[in-house]
Amino acid sequence: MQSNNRNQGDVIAAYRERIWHDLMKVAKPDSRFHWDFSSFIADFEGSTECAARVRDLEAYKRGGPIFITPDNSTEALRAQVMADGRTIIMTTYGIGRGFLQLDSSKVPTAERRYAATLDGMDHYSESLSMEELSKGPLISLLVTGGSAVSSNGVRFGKGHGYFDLEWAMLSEIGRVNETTEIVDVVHDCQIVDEILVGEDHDVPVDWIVSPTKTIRVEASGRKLGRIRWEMLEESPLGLIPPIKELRALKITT
Amino acid sequence: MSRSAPWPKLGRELVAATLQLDRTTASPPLYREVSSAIERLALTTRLGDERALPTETGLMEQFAVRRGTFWKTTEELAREGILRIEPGKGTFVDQAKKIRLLVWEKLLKVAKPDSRFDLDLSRFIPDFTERKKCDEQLCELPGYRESQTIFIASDNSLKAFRFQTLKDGKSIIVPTFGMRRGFVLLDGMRISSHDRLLAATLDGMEHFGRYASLNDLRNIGSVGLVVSGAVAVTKLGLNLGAGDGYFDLEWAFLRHCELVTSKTLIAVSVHDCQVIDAQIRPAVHDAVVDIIVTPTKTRIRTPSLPKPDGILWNEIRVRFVDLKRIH
Repeated sequence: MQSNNRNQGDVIAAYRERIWHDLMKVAKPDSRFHWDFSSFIADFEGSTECAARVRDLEAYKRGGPIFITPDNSTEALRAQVMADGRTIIMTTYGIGRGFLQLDSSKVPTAERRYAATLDGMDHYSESLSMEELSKGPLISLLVTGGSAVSSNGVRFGKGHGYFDLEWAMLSEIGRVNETTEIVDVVHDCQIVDEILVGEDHDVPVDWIVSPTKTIRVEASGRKLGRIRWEMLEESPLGLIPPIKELRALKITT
Repeated sequence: MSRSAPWPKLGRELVAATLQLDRTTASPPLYREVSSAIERLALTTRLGDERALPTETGLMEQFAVRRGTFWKTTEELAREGILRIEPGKGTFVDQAKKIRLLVWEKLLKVAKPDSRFDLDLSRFIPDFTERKKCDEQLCELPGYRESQTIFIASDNSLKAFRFQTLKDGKSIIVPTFGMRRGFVLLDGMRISSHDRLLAATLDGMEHFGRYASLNDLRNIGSVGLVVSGAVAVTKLGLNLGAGDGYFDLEWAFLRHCELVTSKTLIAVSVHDCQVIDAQIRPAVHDAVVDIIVTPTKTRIRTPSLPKPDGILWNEIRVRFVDLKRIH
């Protein structure tokens, strides 16, 4: 079992290296991390086309808030969601300050592009505790970026497990259910044309959207998430505000 | 600063208190407890005190630890840059590192998180509460009104000021974060009013500005005012950045391209808690600050101290900048 996991890790590492190499040609550097792809999910040529493709999805049209991870590749999508008058739920980088809600009616039209960046979002959004977050309606669509995704929807991020944890937290408080769909926004060069076996805690996606295509992943086999407290004990993620809050709730109930 | 002056005796209560404090949180290994006690000792000594710490034997006795533990402790603190071990001379507290640690502790109470680094102040210069009062004073500085081009560092504390200068129709030269992609030139006259907010951020500036090579910089003519943030600044004008010497290098490039003269004013905009009353002599590469602006006042120093007049190649401490690319 142990050695299997390690092999899977090697496979992922190999893909990451190759994809990062290709990504350099189309990606945009981050304002802080430059080209260090292990620290951020890069924006790329064609991310606006990706946003338009996400808009065509049935789950997008269902209405309600949309959860979007704070990646550079989803910046264009955030601007579009605001233009469509919708509400965005997101986390701060590394979930360091937990969840935010960005209500597009509070963003002046001319400032949407600014509000869509990580540097700008804080000025318009409000911070949500897990308790406040748990009171909202069902989130029918989650959109994330990533380093790579296999054709059967197994995705790889920066390798910290942020998205797995976001899914787990949203599951635990009941903001997502079996009808919720997950979209991975990537550049074509980030799609690995292979069937990969994910690990237990992986959160496979339902849709892969690139600038040129929309791929439906049949039967992703995703389950609702669960916070694996034992894994958080040794991790810096165990200290982020939403986890502290959930831990306190767990103890009192 | 006589060598024979007695080192202030470290009270047993302080040792006891620091050790006690750590015990309440967890039970770390002994060397860690001693390490934090020595760190606190180093931080509570007078700023600018450049004498060696008490001798090894003296400290070991005070902390009641064996040599092995003691060495492990001091080696760790030296690795972190707090202590400097000079064989044959003694163990010294690194003053710049000490100032940074002391300032970060206070700054944390007024700092605003960065979009990526959150409140890890070792990675960036934060925006802070009451910063607006600094911006008002910056616009009143000698040279602001007349200058067509201003250099403004990429610090978060200067975001609103960058926005203001663009609004006032000026051009600004802004280095990319860590100078990784060189300098960006933003022209307030060419950026539409609804794009200026974004253009003033690190995330947005590269969409609206253009990268400027050293040759491009040379053709700009002159920069009327240089504005930077800092981790800390001494009252005498020594600017302490995050420790990588970026600001000194930025100044050196401006001077190299003849955009500034030795008389060009350098202003630093910081919170009051970042102004430190310590006598540290600037080194040759230090671009000494003439004006310190804080929310409560503007300090202008006359006459100004000499500043480096070009790139001191041997003194460049920034490791990750591809100098050839900037060239």
